[in-house]
Parts: sequence; structure tokens; C-alpha cells
Amino acid sequence: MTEPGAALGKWRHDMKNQLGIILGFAELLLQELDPADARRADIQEIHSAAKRAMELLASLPSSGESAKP
Amino acid sequence: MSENRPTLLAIDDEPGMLALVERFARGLNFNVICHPEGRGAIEHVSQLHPDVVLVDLQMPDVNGLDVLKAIREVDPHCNVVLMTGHASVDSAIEAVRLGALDYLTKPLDFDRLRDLLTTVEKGIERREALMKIDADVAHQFEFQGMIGRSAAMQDLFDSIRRLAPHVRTVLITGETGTGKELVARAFHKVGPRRDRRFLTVNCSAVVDTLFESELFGHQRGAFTGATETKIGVFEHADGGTLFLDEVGELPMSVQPKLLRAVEYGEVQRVGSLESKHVDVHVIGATNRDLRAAAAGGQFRSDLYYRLGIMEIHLAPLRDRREDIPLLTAAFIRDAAKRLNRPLSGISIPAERLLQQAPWDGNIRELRNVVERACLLCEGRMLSEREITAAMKTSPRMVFGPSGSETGAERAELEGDLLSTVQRTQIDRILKRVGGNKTQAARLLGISRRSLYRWIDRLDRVEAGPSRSED
Repeated sequence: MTEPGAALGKWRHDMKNQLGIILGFAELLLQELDPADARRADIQEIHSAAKRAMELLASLPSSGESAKP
Repeated sequence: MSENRPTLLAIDDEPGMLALVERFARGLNFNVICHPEGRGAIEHVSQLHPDVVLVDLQMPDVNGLDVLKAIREVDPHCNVVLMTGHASVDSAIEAVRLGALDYLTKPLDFDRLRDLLTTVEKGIERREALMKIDADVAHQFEFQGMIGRSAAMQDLFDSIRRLAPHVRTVLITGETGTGKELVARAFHKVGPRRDRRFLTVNCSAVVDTLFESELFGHQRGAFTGATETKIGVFEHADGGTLFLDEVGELPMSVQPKLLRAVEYGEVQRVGSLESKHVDVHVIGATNRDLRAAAAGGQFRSDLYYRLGIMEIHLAPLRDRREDIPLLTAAFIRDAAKRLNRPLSGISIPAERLLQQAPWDGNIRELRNVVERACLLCEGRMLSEREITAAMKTSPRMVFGPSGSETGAERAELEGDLLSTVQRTQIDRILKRVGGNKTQAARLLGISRRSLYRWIDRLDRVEAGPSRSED
């Protein structure tokens, strides 16, 4: 792997980890909260956004591929 | 109580990930220890004794697979689960090959992690339940402090029940550590004299010249130093039971007098012309072949035949291996209670090691090994590691069959063996028993004198080479 490629790989890994933590905590809170709890909707938003971010991260071209406009 | 909860060790360089795993596993009643780097975790794993380890595959200081390898070297039966953000077929195959319990991808699938942790917890519960069953069965098969469901032991218990009300003399033979004194006590407790005295004389511990006085007493002035009239153990045990341990070591000179005491109940104090009549049940015990000794002229044959009217032979532990799990369970339960440790079971490989060991020192050796292992164990489950360590410091495992070495050789060997044991271990054992050297020596399977010698030697080593005065 080239140097920029390696840096990108590490960035991906770190970013995925951070998103995984957000997703994980949001999931735990959703499991624990009462279904009628008003905060559920807010947490659901956090969870969905983190999930979308994870999908966006996965769609990023891997190292070696050139990013398409 | 946190000590009774299973322990999860989480290793990840990402603090948020550790916090997430900790929060989740605590909810499943796990005790969670977090480590931010692999190398430090490897160093601590032997002290932490986790039931399950969750380790990140990619960490800056060390690869998760290397952590897995290192953990399995320290504790081959520890459950290790790898987690990774970049799953690959190669690393998954390698993880399974190295014995990982599972391979999880990030973001964590909590349902799968819950299933895994539940599996680990159920496994521990199963081992603990088995252990409890063994201990309960041991209790059912206990007779006067002896445990055994083997045919040999059941026959022995039956014999004691049948014979104890009738016999006056018994000779108990068997290898060292087979429980001869327990059998003697059982005869006394089951017999009609249970409320009377039970006295023990270890014939190998009495100086030859004092034997007669010890057994039969002496009159004042009977010999130099006899400033007071003293009654012997036979008179003292009148109406009760006298247990002569290591009776094969009895000097030839005393044997005719013992025969008279056993045969006619007649004893004569040293220096007295008068005989006294006593009514004593005599139980002798020996690990020697007294029949051969009598045939060879080293033991009086008339005394042998008198004592051996009822001969009870105790089977060595290797001939009744089916009793080992029950004995082990009972010893662990006792040690846990006495040492106030949360021990509740033994791993299958550790149990297998105990099952297959030669046990030249019989039950006494098994008990000492189990006790030492309990002392070394930081967790709730005795593992192969502690049993192996405890066996390594067991003199009989190293010295070979009993009786093959002289006292001096044995002391020397004990010294050599101990020199391989680290000071920290000795210190740890001493600390656990509150500095009680007698108890520490017993747990180490050595004499108190050897322990003192060892501490002395270590102190000299630590003080460095002696300096000559300028």
C-alpha cells in the first residue's frame, strides 16, 4: 500500500470505530428506554445518522482507486 | 457479589469501544476489566484470570492474533473473542485455528455478543454445578471423615462397621498418605469405646531409649533424669484406645513388653517390680510389610501375629482413581472455606491431570496439591496452570516413590526443589496465611525447618555477597 493509501486506510478504520461507538451506545439506549419515552425519537435520529455515515464511509473508494466526481 | 460474577477482559486501543463493551457486559452481570493496549494486557492476564477476553484485532502496539496466542499460552482454556472493523477470511481462519471462541465484526452485533457471553456464563455454571454435585456425592459417601465410593472403600467402611464393636486389636497397613490414622479413629468412634480416650503414639518419633518409659511409664529414680514418677500411655489410655502409628519402627527391645501388654493387659513401669492391669484396645499402623519383616527377623513374629489378628489393608489412591473427583471436590470446598476464597470449581483439563497423576503420596498428597492450587488460584475455577504449578512443588511428584530416599537426601532434594520456586510465591503464600510458617510449610509440602532454611538462604542471596572488612 502506498503511503497516502495507508493513511487513508487508518483514517477509515478510526472513523469506523468512532461511528461504531456512536451506533453501539445509541442501540443500547434504544434497548433500555421505555417505548413511550419521548427521547427515543432523538436517539433514533442519532442512530440513523450514524448508520448513514457508516454507509457513506463504506461507499468511499478504497485506496488505489481514484475518487470519481 | 462481584467475586462470583464471571470476568470479561476487554482489550482495545479505542477508549470509547472499551466503554461500550463495559456498559454492555456489566448489564449481563459480568465483571469487566478494560485494557487500552495489548502488551500490558498480556502481562496481566495471568493475574486477572478472565473467563473471557474480547480483543481488538488491530492495535498499534500488538496484533490481536498475537494477544490471542499469548493468552492461550498462559491459559489454554481461556475463551478469547476477536473483534475487528476489517474482517478478512485470512484473519478469521487464523483466529479459529489459534482457538478463538468467535470472530466479531464492528460495529458490534449485540445479539451475537450476548449469545457468546451467555454461552461462557453457562459453561462456568455447568462446571460449578458439576463440582457441587461431586462435593454433595462426596458428602453422601463420607464415613468418619473418609470419602470413597469405590468398591475398595465401601468394603472398608463395611468392615469397620461390622468389626469395630468386637475387635480389640487391629493392624492397619497401607502406603503413606492412605489415611491409616483416620481408619484407626473410625474403629474407635464406631466401637463401644467412642466416649473414652483415643491416644496416638508415633513410634518413629520416639527416641529408642525412651520407648519403654513412654509406653509403660517409669518410677521416680528409675534412671538418670527420672525425677518424677510418670505413667505411660498404656495406663493413660486405660479403658480407651491406643493408636501406635508406624508400629513397624518399634525397637526389638520393647516388642516383648508390648506383646504382654496387648496379650494380657499387663504393663510394668520402668523401675517397678509390680505389674498393673490395663484394658486398652491397640490399633497399630504401618507402611512396612510387617509379615516380611517378621519372616526376616526384623520384627517379632509373635507380636506381628497378635497385632495382625485383624489386618486391614488400605488401597493406594492409584488403585481407586474413581474416588479422585469426589476427594478433589471435597478438598476444594474445604480449602475455599478455610482460605475464604470464592473457588467454586475445577476445569476439565485440570481434573484430568489430577485423575492421571501417580499419587505416590496418596490422599495426603492429593489434598496438599489441591490446597496449594487453591492458594495460587486468583479466579473461581482451578485451572490446569495452578494444578501443574502445585504439582511441581509437590515433593512426591519430583522425588518419586515413597521411602526411596533417606531423611538427609530428602531434605537436600527439598532444598533443590525450592530453589526453583520464586521468592514471590513463598512470600505470597506466607502473606495469605498471615505469616504462619507452619501453615505455609504445610501448603508448600515441605517441613517447617526446610521453609526456615529457604527463607534464610533467600535473605542471604538478597543481602548480596558478604563483604570482607578492609
